[in-house]
Amino acid sequence: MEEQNKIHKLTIPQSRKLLPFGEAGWGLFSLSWKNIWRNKIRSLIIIFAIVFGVIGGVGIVAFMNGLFHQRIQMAIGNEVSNIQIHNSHFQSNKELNDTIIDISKLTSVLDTCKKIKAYSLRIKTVTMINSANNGEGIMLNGIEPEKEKKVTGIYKYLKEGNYFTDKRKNGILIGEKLAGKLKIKMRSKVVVTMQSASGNITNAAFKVIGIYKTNNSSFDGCNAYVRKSDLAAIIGFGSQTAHEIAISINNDNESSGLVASLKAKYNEDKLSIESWDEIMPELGLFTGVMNYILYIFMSIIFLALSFGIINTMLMAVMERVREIGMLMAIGMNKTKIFLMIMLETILLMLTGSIAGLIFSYVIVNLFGKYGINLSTVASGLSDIGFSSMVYPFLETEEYIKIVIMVLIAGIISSIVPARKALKLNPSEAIRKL
Amino acid sequence: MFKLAWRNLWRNKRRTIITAASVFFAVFFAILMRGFKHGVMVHLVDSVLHSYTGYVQIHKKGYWDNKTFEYSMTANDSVFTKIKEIKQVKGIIPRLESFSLASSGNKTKGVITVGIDPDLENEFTELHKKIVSGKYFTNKDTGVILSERLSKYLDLKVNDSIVLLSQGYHDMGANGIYKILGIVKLPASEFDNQMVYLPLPLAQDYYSAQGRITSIVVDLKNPQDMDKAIRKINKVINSDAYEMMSWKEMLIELYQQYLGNEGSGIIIMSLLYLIVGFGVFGTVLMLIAERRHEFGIMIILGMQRRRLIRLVGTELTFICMIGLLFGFLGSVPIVAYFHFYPIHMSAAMAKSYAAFGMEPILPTAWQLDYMLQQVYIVFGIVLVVLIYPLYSVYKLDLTKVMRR
Repeated sequence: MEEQNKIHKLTIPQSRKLLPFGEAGWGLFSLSWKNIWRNKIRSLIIIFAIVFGVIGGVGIVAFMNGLFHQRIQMAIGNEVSNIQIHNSHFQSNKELNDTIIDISKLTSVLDTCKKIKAYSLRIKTVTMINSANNGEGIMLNGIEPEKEKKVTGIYKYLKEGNYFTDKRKNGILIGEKLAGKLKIKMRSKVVVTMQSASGNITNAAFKVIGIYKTNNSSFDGCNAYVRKSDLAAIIGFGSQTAHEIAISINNDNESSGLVASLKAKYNEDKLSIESWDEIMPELGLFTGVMNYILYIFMSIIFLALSFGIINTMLMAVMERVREIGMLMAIGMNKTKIFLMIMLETILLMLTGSIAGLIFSYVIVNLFGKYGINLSTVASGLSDIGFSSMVYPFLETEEYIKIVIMVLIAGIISSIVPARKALKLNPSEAIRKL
Repeated sequence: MFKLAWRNLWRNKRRTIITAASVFFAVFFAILMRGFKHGVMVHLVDSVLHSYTGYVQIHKKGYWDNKTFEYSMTANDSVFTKIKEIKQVKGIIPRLESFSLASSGNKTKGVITVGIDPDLENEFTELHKKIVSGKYFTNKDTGVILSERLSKYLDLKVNDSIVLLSQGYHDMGANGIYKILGIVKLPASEFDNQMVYLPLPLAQDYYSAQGRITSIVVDLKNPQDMDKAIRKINKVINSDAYEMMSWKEMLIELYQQYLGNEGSGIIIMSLLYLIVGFGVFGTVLMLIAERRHEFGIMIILGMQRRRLIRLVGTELTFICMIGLLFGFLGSVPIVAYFHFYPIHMSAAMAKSYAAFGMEPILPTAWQLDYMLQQVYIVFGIVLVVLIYPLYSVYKLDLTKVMRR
């Protein structure tokens, strides 16, 4: 007992006795701290194991976020928009005369809604499009180009031509895949056959003024765009008639909320108001599967990290067998040794967590800005003309959650090796070569 | 040298086992992760292909770009028997597919009319399981089967009649009134509102295309053998007369998804390699640190540093191979288990999945070549990871080590 107290007094200045944990606490702390710096390699290994664990965990979540976002954004941005409104009969069979009733009342309601970024009106009708070489059944969309630009991004994907800056009548914008099927180019003439409002079959000639290409080639193959005014004139519709109102809102997450409030404000059971996940349930499916896969991956990552740390710590502790034996021989009790090792480990892992947080934040933001190009990684993608950029991103609270989980995994993994250290027999330990 | 290295391993079992364990975990988790990611994608592709398109189709050359009867083929060509004989082929499913107008009362709609061999089609797509009313037909029947949404739109039930109108072979007019024998519910809604199935002889009659078909779906015993099967089929068919297409060419959007999955898989695996690679690195570094004294003595006693490196390198490679072997063997039962008894999704997810006609499961891919690929990759990573530790032995500073 006397010996022990003497050793403590040799290493602790008087002032430290006033600290909350007292001499013993501070002694343990300073011992741990010195131990860390005595063996830099061992300490660095543990720190970096945690750094990589954090980078790995953060990387996967950020990447999956980006992947998911990319798919959804593409669909919302080009195909579906956040919300669509139709006559409640329209969706099932797209009958020409199922237009939106009382449309001017509806548009004035939409004009006043602050959450809405923009909306556009469309005429949609299934038609046959024929070139000199071929014919195809497609969906013809009559749009108001200026309004439409604010809602969908197709104008960004023009490969050739213009997005209706040409004021002449009867210009048509088609997808690259459709142009291929019909074997036509810019300024080719096509004839479009459709049903008119009175029930007769009518047709009209159009000139290709632009060709677009999105990431979704089946969409490109089925959708062509003309001015709403041109199409209305051919069909025999009034200038305000429309089949579809597409709405783009400022915050994607609020889609379903806005749908609910619109349904309440404008309750008319002749209208169907749907958010994008109701219109394209396969996107919702996609989300669900991604979540499951994420859980599986994160579990694997944490297991891999934990076993890695257990392994490294086992080696690290075994390397210190002589030193621990020595401490035991001079009287340090096993609990204190255990606490010392754990303290070291926790300090190292905290350092690793903070470093990991900084590194991963920088990496995610860097890739988030410039994007990861999947086609460089999966060569087949560029062969079929499909380039895919993923922009990883992560919310602040997700960073913190992951760092905490990595820290906990690390600390729990260190307990077993630390306990192993205690099972050592001091006399054997010292004799170890 | 090898004997010495091997004996050294077992001198200190604990060290060897711990180090081998780090490699074990690396390859074990790599195989598991890859298995899951690939498995889920393969399941999706399988489900989609089994609903209609199949893995490989054969048409008359030029049919895919010009889906008209001009590009139809004779059903009894000897080529098809030769294809059936290929080892990887399970069977062939003939179809006569075209576009018609279907009419009932004053409603008319464009539909896809498919002439099928009821039994062969069933073996592949299990169409009869989708019957919701009426019954499944036989080759001799003279009635049709409609998809559910189509029947609702045309207001038709079993035993009603449907009028079909189209253009047939050699521009003959195709028309007929047929009794509805059954109604099927197809999971994908774009199919469900426009499919009309006829027994093949009836369809051939309707289109005046007796003895003709537009496509053959080749069913494979094992989807992984697709490339092998394609090569063998290529040898057997005349490429001037016929075209063979795989689903990758026919369903480009699905292939896009498949490739996107491969790409994202590579990135995610890289992150895993980072973690497990470092785990091996750390363990090896500690192993070297522990034996510094021993190495110091060997060098002092006269062993050349280069020999020492080779010895230690050999030891570590042996350990690595033990780890790889056990990691691989250990992962096999787990991957197999999750392949044959996959994770089921929650009830809510299951409902949306079922709406698409897919089983709501997350299976692993039971593919040996993918698993071995991970073994090779981890082996490569370990070799790289060994460079620095071995280098540090080479540059061992004797003065620091011998000061005990």
